[in-house]
Amino acid sequence: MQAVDRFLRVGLPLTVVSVLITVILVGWNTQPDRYHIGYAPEQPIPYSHKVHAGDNHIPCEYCHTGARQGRHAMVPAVEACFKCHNLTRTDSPHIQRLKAALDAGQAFPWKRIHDLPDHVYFDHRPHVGLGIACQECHGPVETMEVVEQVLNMRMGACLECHRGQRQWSTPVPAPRADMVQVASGHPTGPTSCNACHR
Amino acid sequence: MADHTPSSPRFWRSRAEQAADPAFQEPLQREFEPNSAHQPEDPAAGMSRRRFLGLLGASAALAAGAAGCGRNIDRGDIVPYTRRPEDGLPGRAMWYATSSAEACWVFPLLVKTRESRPILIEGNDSHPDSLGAAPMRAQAELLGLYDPERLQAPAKAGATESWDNALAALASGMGKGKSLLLTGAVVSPSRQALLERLAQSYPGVEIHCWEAAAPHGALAASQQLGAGQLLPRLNLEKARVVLSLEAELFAGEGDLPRQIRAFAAARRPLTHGEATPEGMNRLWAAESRMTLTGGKSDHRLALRSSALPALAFALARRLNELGLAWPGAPLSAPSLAEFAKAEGLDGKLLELLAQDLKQAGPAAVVVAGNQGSAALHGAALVLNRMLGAEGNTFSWRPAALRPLASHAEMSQLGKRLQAGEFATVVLAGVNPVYDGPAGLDWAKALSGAGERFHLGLLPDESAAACTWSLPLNHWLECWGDHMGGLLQQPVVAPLYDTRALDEILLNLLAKGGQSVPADGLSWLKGLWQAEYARQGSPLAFDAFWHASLQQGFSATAFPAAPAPVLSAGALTAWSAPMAASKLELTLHADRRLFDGRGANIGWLQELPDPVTKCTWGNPLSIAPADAKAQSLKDGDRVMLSSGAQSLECTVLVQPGQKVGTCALALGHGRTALSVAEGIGVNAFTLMQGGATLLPNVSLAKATTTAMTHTTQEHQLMEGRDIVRSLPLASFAAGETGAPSHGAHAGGQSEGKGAEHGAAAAAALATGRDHGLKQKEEAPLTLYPDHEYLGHKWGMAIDLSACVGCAGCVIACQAENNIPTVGPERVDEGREMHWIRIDRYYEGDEENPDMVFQPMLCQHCDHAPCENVCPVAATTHNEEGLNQMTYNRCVGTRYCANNCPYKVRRFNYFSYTGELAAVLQLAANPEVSVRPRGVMEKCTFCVQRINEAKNQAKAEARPLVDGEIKPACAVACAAGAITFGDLNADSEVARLSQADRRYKVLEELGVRPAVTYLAELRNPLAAGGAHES
Repeated sequence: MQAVDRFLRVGLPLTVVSVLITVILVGWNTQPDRYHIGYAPEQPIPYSHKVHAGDNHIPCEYCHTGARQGRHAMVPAVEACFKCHNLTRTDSPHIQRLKAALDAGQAFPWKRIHDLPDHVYFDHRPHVGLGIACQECHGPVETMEVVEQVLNMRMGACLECHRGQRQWSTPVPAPRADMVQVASGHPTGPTSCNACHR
Repeated sequence: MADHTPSSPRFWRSRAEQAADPAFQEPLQREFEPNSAHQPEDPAAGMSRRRFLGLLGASAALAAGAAGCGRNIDRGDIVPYTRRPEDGLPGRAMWYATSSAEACWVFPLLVKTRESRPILIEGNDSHPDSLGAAPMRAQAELLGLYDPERLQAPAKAGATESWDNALAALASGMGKGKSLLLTGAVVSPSRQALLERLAQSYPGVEIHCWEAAAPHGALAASQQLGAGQLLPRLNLEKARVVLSLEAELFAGEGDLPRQIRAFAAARRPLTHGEATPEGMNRLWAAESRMTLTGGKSDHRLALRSSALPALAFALARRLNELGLAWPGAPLSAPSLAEFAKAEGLDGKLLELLAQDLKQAGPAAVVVAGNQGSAALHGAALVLNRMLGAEGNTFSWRPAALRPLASHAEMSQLGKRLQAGEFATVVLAGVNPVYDGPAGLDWAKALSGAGERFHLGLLPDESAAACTWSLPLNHWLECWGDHMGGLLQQPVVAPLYDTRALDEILLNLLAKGGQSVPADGLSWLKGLWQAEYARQGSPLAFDAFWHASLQQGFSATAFPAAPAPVLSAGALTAWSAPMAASKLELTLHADRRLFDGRGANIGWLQELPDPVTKCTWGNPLSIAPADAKAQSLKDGDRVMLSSGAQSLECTVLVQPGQKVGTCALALGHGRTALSVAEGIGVNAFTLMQGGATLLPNVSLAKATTTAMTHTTQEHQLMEGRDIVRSLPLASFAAGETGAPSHGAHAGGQSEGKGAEHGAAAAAALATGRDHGLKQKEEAPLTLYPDHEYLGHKWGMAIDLSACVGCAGCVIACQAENNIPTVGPERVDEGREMHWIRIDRYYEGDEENPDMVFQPMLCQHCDHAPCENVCPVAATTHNEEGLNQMTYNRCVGTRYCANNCPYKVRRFNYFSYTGELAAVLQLAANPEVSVRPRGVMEKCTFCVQRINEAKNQAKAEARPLVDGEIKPACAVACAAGAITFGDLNADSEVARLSQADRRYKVLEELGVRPAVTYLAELRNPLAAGGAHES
């Protein structure tokens, strides 16, 4: 009986605790990094969205020209910077680095902040086309010196909106006639698998 | 239709099924092959399940431990363009118009590129010859571009050399003494100009064009009349009566997809239940082997190939008796009745044929097979001249811009080569070691030349016999043009250190002292500019050039040629009777590989042949009666002997093959190239003197057997009401092709049929919709109906239009990243095609009809697959799509087991992941690549649906009907496949209400979204379709 008693007193709790710890540790450590709100990697040059989009009121789509036309909003080509910077702040070493890359025809890689898994086929077009503000998913970018992730980018976040259950932080666009109406009066999107996965 | 015993099914797919063989039924009861547990290339095969799980656990623990040490997040880089190209938008497809050529034929094409790499080839939808459809080989050339075996740099005797050295060696080789340049058919005006100037700088060079499987008979016939090498260019849309003399109109070779499109257009008896004024065309086929044309025909005459010219002359005599003028000196051809008696054919049917041709007159056309003899083509010419068809149902065109060498001329060249007459030989895109005329060892003949240059894409048989290897660009990588005003523009920069053939020739010209540009574009543009200036257009050339480039062509008219004048001598030669022999062999171009080009493309090798349904190889087709007499069955190996030559072939007992004849496809039996090597047998070795019809061949049964790699017995649907085919007259009388015994739940009652029939007949007469849509009672169901508030996607497939060419299968494979699995896996029923063409025979096996049915996921409303999935990996969406979620799939395969249509495919291995890196470039980035252990099936090309919807949403407009076309619908030259929104005012909604409509296995109550339209045939007398 002593063996059973010892097992019940010590072994069982130990087993339960170790299993729990394993589950929590494995779960925490293997959760994909895309869940990380607040992820703000250091970029190759300290580009400030606050200066450009905030202080100077440059519209998002002035640089991110793909948002209305295709899948990717697109990080602008290096040459796009020199629409302005061939005149302004040409003394900045960072601008000069960009200029060197442009002149040499070299690539200028930026760190990726927002990422979706490969089996998700997201398209900016219908979202921007409906009039959803960029800030709804990307946060108040115009106030950020360094852009960080504000939405967890999980399927739940997509579905929250597509089911019309989201608490909107930006003005809610008017639902279109071809959308399924829900009680909240908010726009909805397709919730079938094929909408994003194929 | 033809008689059949009541016990045998009306429609059947293989001979074993027709005979109701129990051995055939048994494997069908099993969804999955029992021996499928271990496979040689399965990495886990050498490992027990326990050990595998143990390793899995250990590696998971290791991974968890490693991950616990730190949380370094790096999502990688986004690398934007430095300078963004015009319209360069990542993630957005760009389409370019270009064109390709194959032997004497040219095809206008569109190429889809993503981030500058080609991912799909379709037909040019603005060109009337294509309207979006491309022949299967042109589509499959995508894999040709990314072939990992492509030659990547110039080499001499295996050692890499620089282009400077290679080109200097080529120029000096061609400059000294006599040299021979062998190239394929020249159908490019800009290349022809280059070759003409080459002769000026290099007077010692002899230029010859070699195409092993060109229509040599047709070329010889027109040459015998002194008209040069001409080919007929068919206008089948104007033909009311078509007589095919062993012609493959719909597959293999020739002006595809132009012929299919035109034929289908003239075969549409009704659109949405309305009669078109001119009615439906009629197709007659006379042939010894089973062709797609014969399968689609309204009347098929099975007779020896050697009797075909005699048939044509007997018909000509009869037409003369019926009042048509004989085009030359009268000949003593046997009468039609005598001919019918001698060949054992039904004289009455032949008489009907003569009457039918006579009645159609200039609206008839007689087409001889491309591999037919000069006599056959001559006989067809005589008939067409009598009917007045020239200029109406077909016109004459030059075969190519330079004459093609005949087999005799080519043999002569080979002998001169062997005798050492040429110091240098240059093989530019030809492979005589594989396909050169039989009776000569071409590797040995080539060695007669001191310097041997191979200019080509792949290390083929001839490359091995050459000293120098100069790799060429793929046609997707270089500039060019083709007859008929087509432009060929590169859509991708050369993948390797290769050159365009035109640029090599330009370099030769420059070395020869001529002032020519160095690059192909300048040369091409210069020629076009000179031609444009000659025409004296007031518009600037640049505007014309850019418009032509964007469109892909500058004109749609094809160069024409005057009709040849018949001569008495030629007529006498053509009408000379051919002796009958005990067993004769017909060699024909392969329906998938043509003359062997494309043999290294797995998609084409694994495509089931449209007629035989065999993949990977070329079995010898023999007649069922001959098989019985010699006790041969499918898969037996035989020694086929013709004269001194012999080949060991695998037997395929082919219904419809005429007794005393057998047939073998060219283009197989390669001895180089890893995909093609050792697949099938090389029938070119039998082609003595270019003859495609070999009398007195013999078969000797070998002791071994082999697989025919057929898919015809896979995914069988057990003889239910699956295909419907009925004569036009019966349809007009009210039948719909539904079985009359009442098994079909959605069918109509007898009484209603008569009423319906009167209305249909009236509709045919008045050309108006009779509006009698019988109310269909949907079968009972346990499940609540889906409600579709928005779109409801559906498809309609017109079996009357479908010719079974299988172009859709290749298109689907390219669009949806579908892997090939190899012959061994095909034998296990594991081919991965999402759409297949089920070929059903109807009637007796001596001379059956064929009905083709494209079969794909039916996107059932009450899909049986959805109910049984334990993890909800396959579900229904709000637009009626049956969606497959790969991430959820755990591979139970319950869904495939429960699918009544047998359209689900399982990834037994990681097929795509193990491909060479360069082949993965061909993958469509809009479609997931499925890993091992995952079920997949047709998605109705949901990526195209989503793309169109997203674009429409961005433009804030509703979708337009016809905006969304799945890959199969685009590729269908016959226009048999229509896709769209059943909830909208759309073409597919109208077709789904047509009188010929039916759903496959509707009685199961699964409510498929695909509607089939019963096939209509147009035989002269109902019930007399077939005689043999």
